[in-house]
Amino acid sequence: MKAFLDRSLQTMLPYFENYKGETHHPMRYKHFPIWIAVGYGNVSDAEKNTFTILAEKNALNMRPVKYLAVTVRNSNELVKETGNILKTLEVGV
Amino acid sequence: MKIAAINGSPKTDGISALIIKRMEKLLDERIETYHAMRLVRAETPQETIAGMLEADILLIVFPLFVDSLPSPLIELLTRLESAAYHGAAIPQVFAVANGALDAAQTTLAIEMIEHFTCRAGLPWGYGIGIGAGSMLYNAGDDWEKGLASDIHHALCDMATAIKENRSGQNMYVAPDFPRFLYKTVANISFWREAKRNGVNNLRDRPYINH
Repeated sequence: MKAFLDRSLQTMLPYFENYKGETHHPMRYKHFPIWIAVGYGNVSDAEKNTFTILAEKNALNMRPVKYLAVTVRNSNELVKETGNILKTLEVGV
Repeated sequence: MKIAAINGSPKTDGISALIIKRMEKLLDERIETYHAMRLVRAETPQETIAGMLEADILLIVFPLFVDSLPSPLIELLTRLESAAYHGAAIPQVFAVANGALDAAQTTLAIEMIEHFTCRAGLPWGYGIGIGAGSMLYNAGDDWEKGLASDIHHALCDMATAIKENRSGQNMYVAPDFPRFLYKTVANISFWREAKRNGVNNLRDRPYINH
């Protein structure tokens, strides 16, 4: 999974620019798909927080049209998040 | 004192290697260095993984990849976590992350190493996040003065903490170098590197439909 992310760097240009108050690389392409990051497993609150912020940072790098980061510990929590995931996938929402 | 280091960079002679060598000098101790990519690519025996945990200190040095750890380092830490869970050895862990322009961008990566230590049951020392670390290629041998001096002092503090067997607060440092100049130098080096590798247009879009 992380190897895929590492290799996605070429979707950005190597140069630097300021974006939302931080230094980032400009996008190579105009469009990046909706970014939904789902973390699962028995994690601590601190790990959950790191995952959520990382997904937000990834979104700042990739600049998708919309993004969502959720963490679930079990299938019940996933069911609860399904509505948010589907809503994020809706075009124009 | 037995000190082991993990070089998390895909390069064996990059900034991470330079930092490990610098720590070796500051500590005046031999550091047994393990290269994460080599270890995960080879069928590394479990004994080798477990052997890393026999050190008193485990120093993890890596470049920032997409606001996180390089994938081979994540895989190696996963194996270490499993070995630590079954073993009795507990080295104290210190980390140095080498980031892009802003040192603060290494915060999450340092947090991830701290999470690893919690899961593996290893004592956490602390981490240093370095911004614009690639400038260290130009720092020469004397890091005490000039653009690398803040980084030098941060590494000195970490070496002292290691010797005194104590933990500390994470810290973030960057070379004393103007940001605009860093960006200019970096942009020129990207262009040169592209030329050297036969790329004429860095802004090319091979998948033009997007």
